[in-house]
Amino acid sequence: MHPSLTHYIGLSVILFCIGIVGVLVRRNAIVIFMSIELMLNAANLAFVAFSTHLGDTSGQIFVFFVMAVAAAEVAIGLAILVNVFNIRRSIHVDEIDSMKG
Amino acid sequence: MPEIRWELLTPILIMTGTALLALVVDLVVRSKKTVAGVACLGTLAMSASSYLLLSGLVEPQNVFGEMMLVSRYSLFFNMIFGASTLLVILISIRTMERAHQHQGEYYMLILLATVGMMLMASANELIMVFLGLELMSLCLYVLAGFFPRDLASNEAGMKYLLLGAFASGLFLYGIALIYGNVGSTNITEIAPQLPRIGESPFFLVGVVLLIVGFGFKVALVPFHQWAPDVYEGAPTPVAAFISAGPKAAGFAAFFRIFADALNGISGEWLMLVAILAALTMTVGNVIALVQSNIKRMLAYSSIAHAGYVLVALTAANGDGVSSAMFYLFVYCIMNIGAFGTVILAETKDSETVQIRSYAGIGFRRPLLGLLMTLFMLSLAGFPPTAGFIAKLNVFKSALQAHPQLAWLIVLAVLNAVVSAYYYLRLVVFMYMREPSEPLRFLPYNSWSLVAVLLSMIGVLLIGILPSFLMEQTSVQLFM
Repeated sequence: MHPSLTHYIGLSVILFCIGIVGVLVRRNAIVIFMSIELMLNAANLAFVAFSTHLGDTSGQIFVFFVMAVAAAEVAIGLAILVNVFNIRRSIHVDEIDSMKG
Repeated sequence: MPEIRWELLTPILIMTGTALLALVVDLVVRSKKTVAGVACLGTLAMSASSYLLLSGLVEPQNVFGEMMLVSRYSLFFNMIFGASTLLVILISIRTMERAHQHQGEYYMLILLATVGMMLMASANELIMVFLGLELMSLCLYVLAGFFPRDLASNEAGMKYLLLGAFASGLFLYGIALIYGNVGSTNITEIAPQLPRIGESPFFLVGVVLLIVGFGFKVALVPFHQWAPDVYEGAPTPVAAFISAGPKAAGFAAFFRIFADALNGISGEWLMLVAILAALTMTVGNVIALVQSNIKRMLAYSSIAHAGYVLVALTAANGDGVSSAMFYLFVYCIMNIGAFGTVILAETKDSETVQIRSYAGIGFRRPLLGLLMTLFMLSLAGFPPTAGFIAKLNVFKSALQAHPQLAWLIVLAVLNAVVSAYYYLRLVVFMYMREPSEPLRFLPYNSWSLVAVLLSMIGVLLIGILPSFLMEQTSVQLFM
């Protein structure tokens, strides 16, 4: 049996939900960041599946852009997180709460 | 090969060129003020070219194979970004000189973020909206955490990064679902398809995800949690920058997609937007009442202002869009002015961020007290300042479009009254309290003073003679 559009979209929705839950429940900044990447890749999967289904290439081109953007985001994100770790010796988001109000 | 109409792209080309030039100039010259000067000149040139195009343009023009739509709408937003970037660069000079490090990169990041905003405002493709949004956001994450040795700045950068990237993920998935239903990412192709797909649950989930994504970017309640921490932790000029341009850019794309492409199903999202607007105004204003840090207070105030702009979206017609454009222009100027005044109030040791430290400033630093009072009156919406006209326009357009949403307007007016309390509290502190310790202010920094005076002139001029700006904002739907 060939997987159909529904299968791909189903997988993409599952990945996306795992990503959201990961962001909401995990407290390690790196793991949160990984969950965000999962959300982006779920969107990529949806783009590619829709693109094949519609016979329209623009969805696949979109995926290239998203991958490039995600790479830039990781570069900047990890730099910020490493810097936070250097100062605080922790990237546990519950411990990083010097500002309140 | 479709012909590329370079003349329509001049504002974006100038801005990109200036960003690259700033990076090169930073390498070759010793004085970092030169870099700021280059950035200022580039921003001015961009605003001038946008204005020239605006006055000559009648019909919206597609460029880059329908990737972008240059219209009166996008050009006016370019001018908003130009004005706010220029003011932010001027108020940054002093802070950056004190920091001594990476000054050239700072201006380049500001300019690149502005390019991202311009792409968002002129996008005609969801791809372009996303790329503009990311170009802007990535620069802002770095800017928020720009002082790497400073705990608060670092924390601000991290929080902004995590929540911003999360919002981008939601936004992107929304685009994916809309693409799957529409069959194209072109914004103008959504509207004709609405009768076919308007009821599809997948499509509506996509629309809601877009609202949530934009909600994070423009800090609507309940997606606002990042804003106070980021504003407080980020360097003050960066907080001014984040509060102004990016918010306007987020709204530019928000309005473009919702008031234009999704106008046909406004019945589906109108109530959601009205509720978000009501929540945003009320929560923002009520929490601002109890703040003791002025940067946090301005953060909540800017959340409340996003709520007022959202009221204009409920009108979803030409008047609503025009009033929102007017509001955003005025809001950017007066908010940067208020942050600029905070920078002017710095003492020998640190910035003056506690509201109680403003006690007695009014008579000891008359100019500073006067400027701050004026910006507070404008933010609260008192005549004859621009803030009053802007609020009036928004409320009028929303009420005319949907009389059944009168409750929202009543709530908005009540909110404006509540907000007057915390804005005027600062004025009371400045003029009617005695300082607990002697004030040791630095002399005014001339660049920041120029920026603050410019924004004050803008606020007063628009307040007294609003017709010129109103002519510029009058757009047909859409644009």
